[in-house]
Amino acid sequence: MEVETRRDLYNLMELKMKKSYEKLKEEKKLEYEENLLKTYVIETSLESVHSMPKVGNFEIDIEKTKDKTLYIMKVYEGKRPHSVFYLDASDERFWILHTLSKSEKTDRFMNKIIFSISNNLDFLWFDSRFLEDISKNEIFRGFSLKFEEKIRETGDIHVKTLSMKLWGDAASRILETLRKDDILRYSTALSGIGIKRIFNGGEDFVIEDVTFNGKFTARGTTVDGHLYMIRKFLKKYKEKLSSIEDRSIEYESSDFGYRIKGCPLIIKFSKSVEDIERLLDSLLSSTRPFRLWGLKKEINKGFYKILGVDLHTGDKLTMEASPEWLRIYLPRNSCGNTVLRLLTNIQQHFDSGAELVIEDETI
Amino acid sequence: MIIGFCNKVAGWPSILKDLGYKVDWIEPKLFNSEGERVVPDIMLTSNKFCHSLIIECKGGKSANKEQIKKLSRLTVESIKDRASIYDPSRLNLDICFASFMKDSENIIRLTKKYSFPALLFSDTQMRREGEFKSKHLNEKLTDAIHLDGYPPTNYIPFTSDDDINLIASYVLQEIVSITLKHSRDDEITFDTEDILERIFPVWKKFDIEAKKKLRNRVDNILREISRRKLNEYLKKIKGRPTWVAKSLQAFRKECEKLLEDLGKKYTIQEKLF
Repeated sequence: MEVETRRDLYNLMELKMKKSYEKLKEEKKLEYEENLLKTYVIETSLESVHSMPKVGNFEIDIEKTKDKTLYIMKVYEGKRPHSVFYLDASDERFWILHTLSKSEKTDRFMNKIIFSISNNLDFLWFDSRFLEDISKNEIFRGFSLKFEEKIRETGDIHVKTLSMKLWGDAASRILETLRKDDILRYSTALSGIGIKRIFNGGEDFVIEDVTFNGKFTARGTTVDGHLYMIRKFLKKYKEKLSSIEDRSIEYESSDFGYRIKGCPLIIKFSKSVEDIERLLDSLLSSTRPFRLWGLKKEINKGFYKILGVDLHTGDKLTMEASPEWLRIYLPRNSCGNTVLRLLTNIQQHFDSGAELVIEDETI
Repeated sequence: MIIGFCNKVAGWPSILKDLGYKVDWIEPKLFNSEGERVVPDIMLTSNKFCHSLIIECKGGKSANKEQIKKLSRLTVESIKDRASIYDPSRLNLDICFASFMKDSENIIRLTKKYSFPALLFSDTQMRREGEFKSKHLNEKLTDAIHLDGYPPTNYIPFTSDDDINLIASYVLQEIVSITLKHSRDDEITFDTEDILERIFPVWKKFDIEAKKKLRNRVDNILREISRRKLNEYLKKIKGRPTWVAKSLQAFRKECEKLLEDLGKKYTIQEKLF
């Protein structure tokens, strides 16, 4: 089926969604080359889809459609066709990429393109609180936990890696139990959730698996349901970003004097950090997943000043750190997504109980 | 530290925010009752109590009689049109000094005649010296405030009196940011003025003397960066708008070494002057 308009695309997506759901239901597996519908939502500050950078061995070919904001993005690895994405750029800041290509291929490509330095692209970063809150209004199917200690290499490391998939009614109770455990409670970051929503009085439904970095995998009977779920997540995410960016530090000057607006954002650790210097070295190492470059200076015992740069955008990020918290000063016009990337990855790799606090309110 | 008191920030008390104070103006250019220009460090205003608090931050030696005299002539009329307040006709004003306890003797002596209150800081506490006109401030500051956390220090990046390696850290941060934001492969050029304008969004409004001092210090830093050939780390891979993380890590190590050496070199020189 050729895609020339948005309607063509949605017809194709719905057909695949239904087909793969039926196959999974009846045979519990998909045929070779029969792939689930996946949607990646990414944040961008690129001027247009044509500025998409070349990364590694991948070549990108962007084709226009009859719809001005819908593109077909064909990816080649070397000369060989690799994957196809349908890129919806109707929102200038958040691009939506639908694909029916194989997950292992599309994940690899997305990771490659997002984690290239200074490419002005980023994933969305759903922290654990965000995922838990949003799942409360849906039919909850389960969640997955993934924790990988990336900061400490020596000393008492109780949990080096933890990977768990809990599906079913008791999933929340198991999570609660884990979080009551003195050792496991710091390693229970959500890496994904499974939710279901029923539409049209029970006629239609959609089942979504959503990962912490903004990937939606859909099954069900209605593509409109899938698009509704994406819009819902994106709306909540934009609200969270606004709360962050509204507090960015801004200077206003006049002939009379100048004013400062905004305040620092706080990432509060749920446990006191034993080796804050090591944590900061990991954050500022320029490598995945934090992707920050920076210099640190101990101002007082256990209190550091950090002058960092976000390698995705080149934006500055100035911080202060103590064993209990990180204070983040986001300059005006810098991207709030950096703060959510930092929070989510601290949860995934260091302290799953870390929280973002703005003026005494946890968000 | 004082700006921090006006915000709810982890690790630092919000004593002035609790009374409704917000940072109204930094370095406001005021006229006193004699028509003289006075530029105090900071003006805070509480809409809740219709009160403005003008604070001059001083190290003991930097206070001078003439400046204190000019400040003493500030009146409600001097700020009425500029204070962010719902009813300017009810506005009240206090003027005070802030100083470190160890440097405070001279300040207290010089300001005694004008009955200015002072906020005196040590590493662990802040206490009030003298009386404010505002009873709310007097009550709030009856007992010394324990400062067992760390103040938020990044509202104003640095002053011309800060350590050279702190200033150099901001310069290096700026250079990395400029380089990453530069999308083309051609050479990137910048000078001291560009760097300072980027670090301080209100650089153009700075006092001439402060500008001169900061320019000199940043000039020294840029010279040192160029002497050490740190710019060689800042090259992008030819034909590709990308960097290699390895080179950024190496660059970071070189920057840390530079900061350490600058600290040693300039601390010694500054002590001599």
